[in-house]
Amino acid sequence: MRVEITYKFVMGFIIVVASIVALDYLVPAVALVPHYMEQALSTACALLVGLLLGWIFSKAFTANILVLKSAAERISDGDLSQTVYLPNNLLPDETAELADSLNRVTSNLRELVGYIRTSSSKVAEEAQGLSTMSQEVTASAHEVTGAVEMISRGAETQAAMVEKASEHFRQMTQSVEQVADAARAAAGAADETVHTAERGGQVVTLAMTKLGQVLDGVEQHGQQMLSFSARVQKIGKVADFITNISQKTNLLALNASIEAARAGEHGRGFTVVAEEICKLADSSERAVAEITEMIAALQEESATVQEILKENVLGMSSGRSAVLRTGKTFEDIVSTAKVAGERAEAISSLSRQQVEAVGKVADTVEEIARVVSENAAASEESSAASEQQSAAMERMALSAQDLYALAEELQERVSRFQLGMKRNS
Amino acid sequence: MGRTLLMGSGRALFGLNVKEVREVLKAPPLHYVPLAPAMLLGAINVHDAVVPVFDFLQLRGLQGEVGEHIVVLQGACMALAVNAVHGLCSRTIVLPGGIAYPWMREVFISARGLAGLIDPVGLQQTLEQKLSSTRNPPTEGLPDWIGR
Repeated sequence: MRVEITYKFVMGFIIVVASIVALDYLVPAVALVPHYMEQALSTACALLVGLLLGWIFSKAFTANILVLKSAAERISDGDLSQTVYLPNNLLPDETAELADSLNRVTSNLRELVGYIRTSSSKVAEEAQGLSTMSQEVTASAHEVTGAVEMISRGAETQAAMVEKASEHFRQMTQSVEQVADAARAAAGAADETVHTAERGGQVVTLAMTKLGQVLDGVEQHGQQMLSFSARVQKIGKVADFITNISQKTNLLALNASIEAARAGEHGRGFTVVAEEICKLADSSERAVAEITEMIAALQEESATVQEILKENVLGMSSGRSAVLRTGKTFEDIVSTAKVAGERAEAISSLSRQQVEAVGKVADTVEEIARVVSENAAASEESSAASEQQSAAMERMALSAQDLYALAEELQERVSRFQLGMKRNS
Repeated sequence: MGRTLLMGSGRALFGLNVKEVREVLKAPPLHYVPLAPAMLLGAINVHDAVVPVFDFLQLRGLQGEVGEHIVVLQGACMALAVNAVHGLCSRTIVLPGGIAYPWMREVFISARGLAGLIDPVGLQQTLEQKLSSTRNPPTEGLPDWIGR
């Protein structure tokens, strides 16, 4: 049965008072002492009983408090390993509840300290790991910073190169425009070549006609020369016949001279005639010889002229074939020049398209240059952010070290608590 | 001094007294004489008379082109084939001949150069001697059916 300690004190006071009152009645009844001493005796007995009962009650009432006091002192000393046990009481009071509460406090503290100890060790480990990681992250951040700086420098270089590329594209645009102009000029030149070749073809046709006429004239001259040569040969035959006659005449005159010489004085006159005939025959033979020489010269010259005419005819034939080839060449030139003009026109068109494409590419390159510049700026910002991150990571590493020190300190602080059994280790 | 017929045989000039010349012909039809020596070119018809024609070049022991002029001799009944007949001329500065050939009577200077005067009798004798030395004609080159 639970009795509050207040009631216990009230009951003890009542018991002391009742015992004093009882002694006050009991002492006169016993009559052990004179009357006049009864009052003193009863008072003395009352005081004695009062002190004794008071000491007993106080001792009984404060025994649990002493136990609780010592438990509180142990707890305050950090010993959380023991549980508070109160001696058995017939009439438990608030001290039992206080002991239970203290035990719960101890248990909670033990649990809390164990948790703090475990957590602090974990925090220390995590702080150490965090410190290591933050150092690694710092190193990585440094590397990232270096990489970002390199990226930034690369972006600057890229920007410069893109600027150069843009400049090259502009120059290429100008070159392609020049190519387009040259292609247009080539197309115009090819057109002019076509006209010129057509005029050349007409001239060649006219030359062919004239050359044919000249060739016909040369062939006619050759035929006339052949006829002339044949007639000269006939004249030569006639001259040969005359020569033969002259020789025979000469021979006859010689024989006549011989006959006249053999006739002596009678044949003298005949000898003169024969000699004159012989002279005439010699003269005619010489004349015929001259004629023969002239005929031979004429034949030789006519043969030479014939050879020349033949060569001329051959030359004219080859010239005709050459002119024909020239005409064919002019036709080929016309077709080739037309093809060249078409191709030059196509080149011009393609060059214009190329100019547009190169302009677009140049715009794209300028856009790329702008993006690259932005990337360079972003890289610089990233570099700055990386440096800031690196600094933050260094600070974080320092904080982790502080946290580790704090956890160590917390563990040191918590280590003074004795928990008895290991929990959550 | 009598008139002389000047003729050429090879490089040499020869002359014949006009009285010893019957006729001069040019390339008359020549008839081949079988088994005749080489210097006997053949025979010609001179006014229905058969006249043997001798190559004057081979007669002198030389080789060359056979002349086409035929000089028919008056008394010797023979003809000489020479390369050229230069006509009649007069003999000047006559020297005695017979040194080079036994039938060369004289050596004279003509308008064309130094020439030898032919003695037809001596020439005929020389021919007869040569023909008698070649009486047995060579059998080489003859067909088998010809008797030897």
